[in-house]
Amino acid sequence: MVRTAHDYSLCGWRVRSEWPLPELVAWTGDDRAPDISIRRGDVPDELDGITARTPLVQVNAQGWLRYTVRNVATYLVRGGNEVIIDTPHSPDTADVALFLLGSVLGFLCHQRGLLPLHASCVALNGKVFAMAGHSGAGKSTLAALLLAQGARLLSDDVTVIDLRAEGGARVLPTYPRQKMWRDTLDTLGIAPGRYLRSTVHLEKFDRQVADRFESAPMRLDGVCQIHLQMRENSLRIAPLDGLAAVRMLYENVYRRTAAGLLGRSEQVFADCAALSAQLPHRALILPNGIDRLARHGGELAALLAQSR
Amino acid sequence: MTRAAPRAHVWLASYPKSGNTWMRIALAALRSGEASFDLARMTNNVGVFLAMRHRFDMALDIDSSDLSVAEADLLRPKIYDLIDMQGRDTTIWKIHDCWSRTSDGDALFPAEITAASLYLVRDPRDVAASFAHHFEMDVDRAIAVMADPDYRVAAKTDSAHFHLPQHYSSWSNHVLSWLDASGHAPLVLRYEDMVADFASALKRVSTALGWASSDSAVAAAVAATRFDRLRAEESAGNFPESLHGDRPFFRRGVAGGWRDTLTPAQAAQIERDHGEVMARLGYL
Repeated sequence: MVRTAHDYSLCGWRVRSEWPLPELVAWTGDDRAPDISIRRGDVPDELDGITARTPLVQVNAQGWLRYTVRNVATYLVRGGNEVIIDTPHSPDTADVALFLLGSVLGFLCHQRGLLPLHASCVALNGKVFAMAGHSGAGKSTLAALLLAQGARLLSDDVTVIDLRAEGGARVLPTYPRQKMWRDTLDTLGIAPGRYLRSTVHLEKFDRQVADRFESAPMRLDGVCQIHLQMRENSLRIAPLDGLAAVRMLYENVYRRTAAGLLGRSEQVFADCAALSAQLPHRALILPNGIDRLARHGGELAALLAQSR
Repeated sequence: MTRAAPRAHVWLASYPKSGNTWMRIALAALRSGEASFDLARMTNNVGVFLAMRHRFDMALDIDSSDLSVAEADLLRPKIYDLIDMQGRDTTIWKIHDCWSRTSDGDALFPAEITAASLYLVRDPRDVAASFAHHFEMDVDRAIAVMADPDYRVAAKTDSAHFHLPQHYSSWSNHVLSWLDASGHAPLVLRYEDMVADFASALKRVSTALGWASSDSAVAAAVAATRFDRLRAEESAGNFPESLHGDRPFFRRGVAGGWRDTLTPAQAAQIERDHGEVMARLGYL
């Protein structure tokens, strides 16, 4: 069987993938060897020499990580530069790419010594803000509101931070796509793209924002933790300093349990401490509820702009 | 990940609006041993809400919001020993699900990791009035929901939710699932008995948990969780689980209030829907 590989850009890496990933930007850089290769193949049920495991994750002594999403795919992630996808599905199955560009990207970051935060990230008037929060906190909604105010997107769900870049922490942009729920799209008047899951029913969609995507790595200017408050009617921003900032960052490390299985807990904590000292951090306190939030798009941009 | 000793899990289960939060606060106060208990600190202390999505997501390295309800359900029994509880050996989980098995046959609340089961129950006629208030629905709708064996919350497939999907089932099924099907033989506490003599109820719970609390510690926890005190704390903005709008979470805190809030027809409907289980618990 002849397999066609595609070249994409992700976090500034050249990604060569046998699995089509139309979500990513095509590679237009130099002709360097691929930084990451993605192919289809068999992944064993059990890794050799397992050192740690959770229900979905196995890690072995060589730092290989096996990740299973039942009825979707099993992924073998190794060396921070190779992914093998074992799946019965055809390449037009959105589910396989969803977990590849989510969890698997997080594992690659941990293997490469980068810090992935569960955050969306935008550039607003040249300043870059990551907005962190758990699932359902409104990361994508806030990013969408800010894009409508002229912001540019660096990432939607996972913000990859290179702490060791020259000149301070930098964000490595992921892909020009947002993950959005039906009710958010409806409230904001945005047309849905393709379903994020095709093997099960979930009203969650892809939203392409290629024209508002910033593909070059940028210096990070601040991290905001999103707090939705039932009794809040307006937007507020409050500083987070010292231990509160470290804790906030640590709480929002993406795929942190897996990082622990890979033996990176201390490094991840040290990275959070280092990042907390480098940048201003904020708690962004917002009214809960998409329709209440949607009324405040303009204020949100102003609030972030003056928060530095 | 392996641990030296298995962790102890306590299920603090109830249908909603049956005194679960009251008991959680009292247990937190009892454990803290402080005369004046700070309600704002309660959330992460005792009675952790098992259905919080972010705990599941962090434990399993997957976003439950990318999973269907059925997919998330299958994984729920696997998370207990993975959730980071900052080194505490005993975790008291606040639960509103009915007891059930997944489609793989795994118990949602497995007997083999159970240290104790507590089941709080309240006259469904009082639950109906409180449920309607809490979830902003009229009483007739609450009565219909309480009779629906398929009733689920946070199970919408078109919007984000902080909680995992939970299956409440009907009020009667909920009771029977925990009392009979679970095999846990839980310590059953009636809300009405808690209102009448909270010190005795708390003492029984403390014994079931193996805490051996002194009478004075129990008395202090009872004083710290008197209804007027909880209400005042909530009014002062010190209760982190407030409802939106101006509706109080701590509404009345009485037993038998249904007599002046439900119509005779509404009370009769509940008695028709749940008569058998109500009689078993002494409500009829």
